[in-house]
Amino acid sequence: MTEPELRQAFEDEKPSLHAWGTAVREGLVSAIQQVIGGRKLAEFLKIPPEPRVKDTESFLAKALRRGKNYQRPLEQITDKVGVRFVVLLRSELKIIEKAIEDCASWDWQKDKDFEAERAERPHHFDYQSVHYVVRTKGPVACGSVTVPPGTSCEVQVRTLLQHAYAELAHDRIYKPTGTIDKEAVRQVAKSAALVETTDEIFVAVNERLQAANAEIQRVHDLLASVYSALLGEPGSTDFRLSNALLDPYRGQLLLITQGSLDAFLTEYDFLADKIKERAPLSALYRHPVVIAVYFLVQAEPDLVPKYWPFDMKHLEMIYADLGLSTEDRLW
Amino acid sequence: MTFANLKLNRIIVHEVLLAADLEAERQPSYSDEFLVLDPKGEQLLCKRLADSLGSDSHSVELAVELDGEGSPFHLMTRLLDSSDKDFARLSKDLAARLTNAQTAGTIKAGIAVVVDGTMGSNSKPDRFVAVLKAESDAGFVKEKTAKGLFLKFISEMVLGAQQRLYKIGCFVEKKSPDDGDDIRSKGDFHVLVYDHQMSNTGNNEAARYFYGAFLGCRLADNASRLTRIFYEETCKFIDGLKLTSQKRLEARTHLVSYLKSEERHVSVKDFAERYLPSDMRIPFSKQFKQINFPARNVPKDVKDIRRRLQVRRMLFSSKVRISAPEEDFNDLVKIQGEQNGWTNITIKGSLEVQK
Repeated sequence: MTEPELRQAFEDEKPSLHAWGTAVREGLVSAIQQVIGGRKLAEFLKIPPEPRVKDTESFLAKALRRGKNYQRPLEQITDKVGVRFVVLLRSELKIIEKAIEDCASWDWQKDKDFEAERAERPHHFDYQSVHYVVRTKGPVACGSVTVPPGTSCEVQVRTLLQHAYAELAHDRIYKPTGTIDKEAVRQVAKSAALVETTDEIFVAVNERLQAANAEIQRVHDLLASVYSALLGEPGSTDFRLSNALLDPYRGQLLLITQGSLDAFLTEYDFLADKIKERAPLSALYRHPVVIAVYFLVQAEPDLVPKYWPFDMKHLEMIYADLGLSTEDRLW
Repeated sequence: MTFANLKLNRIIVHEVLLAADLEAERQPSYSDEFLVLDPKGEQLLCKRLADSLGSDSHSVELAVELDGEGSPFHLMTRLLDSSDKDFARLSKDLAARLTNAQTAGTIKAGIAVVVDGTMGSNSKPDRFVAVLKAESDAGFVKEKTAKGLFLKFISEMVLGAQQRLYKIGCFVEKKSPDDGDDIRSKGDFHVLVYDHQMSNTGNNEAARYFYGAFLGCRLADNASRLTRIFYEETCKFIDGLKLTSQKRLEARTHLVSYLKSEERHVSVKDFAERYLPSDMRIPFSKQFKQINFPARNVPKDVKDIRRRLQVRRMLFSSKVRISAPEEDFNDLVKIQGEQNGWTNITIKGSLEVQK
């Protein structure tokens, strides 16, 4: 195939490459969302994943580069379209890898696996990223385009730090032809080691925080389900408000169980009405944590005001609803 | 009885004057219409009721003294099942009676708010009727005008948060009326009073006209029993604490002086706040909650425990007993501490008799 022919063939393929890249992105995004549950995808993925079709010049440069000797570059070059998934923690890479491997609508193969490379060359610090190639099994209809069987898309999976490293090093140090600045290579290797170390520390820090927050998380999750059962609609999922309001009462959180909340809400069977009535006026009542506030005030009316992190006026109506005097407590 | 989930049904406001005003032929103004409060106003009124009468408030339980036909009890409890027209009429009668009862010099004129409603769970609400007498106070309302801030003088402001210039008598139904009951049984109701003038010390002359002459009640007669229970439970609590002997003796001294003081009420919350370290207050309150001890002020009557407040008896793990006069205890007995299972005690005086 001559260069003009190759150029034309690639141009012709572009709509179907874009369509397949988009389909891969959509498939993975919905699979990931299922795994991460209530977390926002936009927070989990640190960079919005966009399918990117290689531009024609760099495709041609790659296809015609000496040393590679592609016989059928249109088939052999697998990164004509790519999607990149960037997460904060190395432990989160697995979620995306699993989503790719579990998807029934494509064939996949791991093209680059930094963990395998590390095992092979333990002294070496270099570009780290996981690359998959996913291919259509048969013709796939994507909107107005039918993507032919065997069309490939490269999926890159990285941490945010690996991504930063790649932005600096990958394109500039390894891709261009010409002489390599050895001192720059050395510096980049040092930063790769640092990236790997920092990624490990990030995971460790996250684990520590999660262990400390496990109890608050348990109560947060429990309250979410109790709130939506009580009110018939889900409340706010903002963990920060749960954390701010529950953290001061860590010693009391053990009291909050499905059973104790059920008994409490049966006895105080009017709380759903109160919450519904105030929800339009106050964010506290739109958040499931309000149930815990009622519960704790009822169980520990003298303790709650001592550690209450917000303005006392928010507690006034809670005490009144429960028939508890606020005298000598809130003022 | 819980003041949770207060819902107000009918609210009416009448003027209350002093008995002397009537002699001077001044007439109080009465309303024929119910008061319609916006949700915030209603919330505020409910909050005042819960703060004054609810759990851990300074309210006091009353016993009904007069319960015959035409008694204040009869009048109050008839309100519950009366038509709107009768409610207005009966409430005016109540306001007039209050004016007539306001004879002492220190009493102030004001308004009477008569209200009925429900409290407690939606599935099993209790009905209540309350009369609230509020004295007015002068104050300002802040107003924003084009020229800046402006304070508008209000000569008769009522129910402000910090003033607490009010008294409330509240009848909470614990049993529904039997068919055709015109005069309800006093056993059907809990009666509570909150009065800012019902101070903890001194005589309650300023308050008595309200719960006595006006409501026909007296302080509940379970005072000596409740005072005894308060004493016994507090002793139990002190003994259960992991404290040094010295600290336990101090705690007991506080209890005795609290009960022997001039104050007219005992209150779990009040005692805890005054004498217990902060980390022990909550377990202390819980212990009383478990035995359903009233979570409000209880009139104090030490007649059942007078002897126990006069003599302190100590029992040691070796079955040795020592008793000593409570008064001047600290001067007569010195406990220096414990060592190797021995308690070092120094006693003033010398041994006279052995029994």
